[in-house]
Amino acid sequence: MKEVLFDIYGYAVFFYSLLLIINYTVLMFLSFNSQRREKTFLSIAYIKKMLSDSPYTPGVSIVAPAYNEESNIIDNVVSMLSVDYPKFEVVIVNDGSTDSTLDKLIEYFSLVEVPFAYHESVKSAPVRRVFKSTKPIFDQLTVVDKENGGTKADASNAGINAARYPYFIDTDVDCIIDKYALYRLVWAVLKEKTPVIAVSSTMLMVNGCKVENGRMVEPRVSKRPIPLFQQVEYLRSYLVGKMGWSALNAVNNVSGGFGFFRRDVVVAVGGYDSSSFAEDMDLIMRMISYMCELNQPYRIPHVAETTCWTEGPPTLWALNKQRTRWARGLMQCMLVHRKLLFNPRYKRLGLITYPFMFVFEFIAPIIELIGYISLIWFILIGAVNWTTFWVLLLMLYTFNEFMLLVICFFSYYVEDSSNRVSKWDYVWLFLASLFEPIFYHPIIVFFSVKGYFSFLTKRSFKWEDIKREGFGKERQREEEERRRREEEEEAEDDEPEAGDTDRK
Amino acid sequence: MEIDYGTYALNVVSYYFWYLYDLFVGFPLVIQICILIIMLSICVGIYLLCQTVYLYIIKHKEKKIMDRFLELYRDPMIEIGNDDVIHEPDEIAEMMNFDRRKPMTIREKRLLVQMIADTKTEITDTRTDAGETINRTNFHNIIKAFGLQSFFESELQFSHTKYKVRALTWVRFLEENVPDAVVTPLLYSRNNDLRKAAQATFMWNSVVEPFRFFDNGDYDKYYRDWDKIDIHSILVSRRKVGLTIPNVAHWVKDSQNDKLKPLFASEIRYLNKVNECDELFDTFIRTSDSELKCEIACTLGKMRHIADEENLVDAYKAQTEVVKVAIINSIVDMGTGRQARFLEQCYDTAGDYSVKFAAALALSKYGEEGRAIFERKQRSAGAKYQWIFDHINDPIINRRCAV
Repeated sequence: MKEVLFDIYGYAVFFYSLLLIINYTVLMFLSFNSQRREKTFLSIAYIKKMLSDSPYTPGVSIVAPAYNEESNIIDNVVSMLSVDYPKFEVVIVNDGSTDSTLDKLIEYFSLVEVPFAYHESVKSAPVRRVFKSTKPIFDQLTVVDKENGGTKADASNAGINAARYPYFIDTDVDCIIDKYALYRLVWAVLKEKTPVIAVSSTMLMVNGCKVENGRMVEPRVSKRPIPLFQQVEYLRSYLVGKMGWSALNAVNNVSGGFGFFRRDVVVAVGGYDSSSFAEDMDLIMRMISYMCELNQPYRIPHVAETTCWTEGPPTLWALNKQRTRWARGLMQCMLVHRKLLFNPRYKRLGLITYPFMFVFEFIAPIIELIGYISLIWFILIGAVNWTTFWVLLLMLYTFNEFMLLVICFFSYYVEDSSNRVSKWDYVWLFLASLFEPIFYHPIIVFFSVKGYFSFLTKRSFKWEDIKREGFGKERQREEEERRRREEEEEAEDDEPEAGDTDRK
Repeated sequence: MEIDYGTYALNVVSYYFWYLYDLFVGFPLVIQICILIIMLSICVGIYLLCQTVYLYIIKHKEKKIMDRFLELYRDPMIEIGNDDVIHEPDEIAEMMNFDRRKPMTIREKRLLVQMIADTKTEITDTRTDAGETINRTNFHNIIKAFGLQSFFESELQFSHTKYKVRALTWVRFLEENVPDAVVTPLLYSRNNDLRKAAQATFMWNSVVEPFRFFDNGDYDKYYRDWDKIDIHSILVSRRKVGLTIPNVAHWVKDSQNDKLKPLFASEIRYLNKVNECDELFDTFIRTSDSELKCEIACTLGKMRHIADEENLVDAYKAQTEVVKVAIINSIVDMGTGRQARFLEQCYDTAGDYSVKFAAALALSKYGEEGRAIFERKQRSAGAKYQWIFDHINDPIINRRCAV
């Protein structure tokens, strides 16, 4: 009986893994197909020229909530204002910061309070003041100062209310936006025959990159383990996952870090849900549900090129906070939107995306944790068939490395030369992917399960911001370290000479 | 004896495949599947690695070629483009030290066209900022000097779809011409991008019924928002070089695709076709499409088609909020000064904040009488609506509105 149970368990785990591998393989094919199709399109210079000259160019509002972001705020707002696009505005929402975020903004951009016609289309905490710059060069900037609503979602809602263009980008103040990001996103909207309600795009880690005056100067991968592992994870998620789902018009989430949305649809569904832990996923699910319920066609494409760099959690503690929150959010979303599961009314969302998320994202950490525990137990009782174990491990490892090669190829294939990382960075990514399944992945599984547990036990959750280091700080540290070493070496070189002189 | 390397490689692969198959044929299913995945991952992985290296080499090579072109041709090209004197192709080839006898590869030609397009954009932007225009004839002669006209034709006939799309785009972007006979076979391609690009180029390029797609509905089958931008650009380019522009008013009425109607309604104002406004109001009354109504109202306003002012005022009450705002703006654009009372009524009866705001803004811009009513309304406005007036009166916000 025991052996039969072991066999059933073994086969279940094997076929679950096999299904996951098949799923990723299909996504890789779909992703590659999408990217090839995208590549036939026009150069960014042509799109830029056409949009710059046209009266039909849609306006885009960049909405960025800020809470205690004094270290980054000026760099980031400058970065946003220097985006190349003929019709855009930047709406910064100061979410009741307790530090000098607002003071810095007022001082740097010469802001004054204006009687702005703020209309609350979606619910948010009360707005105190709206600021505009006295300098005409900062005309595109609007700063909304509001009471702290406790969540990013609440601040984003205030930004959506103040936005005046038909499309908006919801981003974070720890993000660096690519100069041509808006052209890429707007092109993704305009080239579609079906109405586009949101656009997802590739977002990578800013940790390790060289940033000057809020602009990406040299994209690099971080040499620190936590951001490096996250870079591998992000690349896989965006270039294989989202790009693949995009081919089926079944993108399940548009990142809260950098998402492009149609404002009227967002307003129609009531904006972000302030009580949600995964407000971005929740919003997309509500938007898709809304379109399906009205029987309206919709499309959510994914832009493969990197449009934004975000500062990832640099430490394990920060990562713990982020991933626990994500897990809580995923569980909350699964429960809130449970009516979608296998519901043909919600088309791809109900029949493909939601079931996939349930099986391969939601319950995966639980299955993996059971796997880890049972493996230890099997080892202890001596029930492991080591030949099978090593072959299985080899299979997973080989597939993992194969997937890394695929993402490196995709990344090299889609990126412009200015946004491409160096060839040695690919070696770093390869090294990271070798250690990721052993060191990083189990930690992520643990954080996810911890998030589920805290959600189920209804533990109180405090929205705290991850401690930011500021852009390019890692790179700056590296350079300082290098300079110090060089100085030391020079000093060492000088010393024997001095000795020689003494001897002489 | 000549070796067939393809068959040889296939034999080697199949030999090792069957060898491995024999090796693991007696093993359990789990092991067999694992081995299959491992083998496939390794094989495809090696292939991808080779592809990445190949891609790296190609990109590196292209960069070198581009750098060479930039070094050799960019500065003379800027000089020629900015020069008011017309230079002949032979003269240009000499100025650029271009050896016409030395053949260029297709890749080099593609990169050269890309470089010319980039340089032209750069000069156009610089000169537009300075209120000047570039010397189009000289740019046309640069294309001739490099022999790129025949290159465009060969690209359109023999290259891969993506290069055909690019070539068609470049033809329009560089304001060049290709024979209709080359473009016509592509007009009904099954590939959406190619068909669209070919139709756009045909509209730009052809002198025989260039806009026939709008009559027979061919253009309507796959309509995207980008087409608006494309069509507008074509019409403006044609007007700039002195080619005929069609009368678009009848498409506002008769187009088979409802999405094209608002586009043509707005094109009337962008192309400043005042004499095509007469029939617009009939369409305004007959249609139920709010977008089309808004565009018609806007066009009538911008074209100052005063004959329809009263009609718009009469039609106001039965419209949706969006159309009401468009009518209010249209009345302001007409600027006859006769509708101040109407705008006041709009303000008083507005149930929606956007209409109230638009009416107040319109009053503030509507001459002395309008301004007097605006100030009166401001004095009587309670706390509920005071923000509208504060917003409109604020100089910094108004500066943004002006932008």
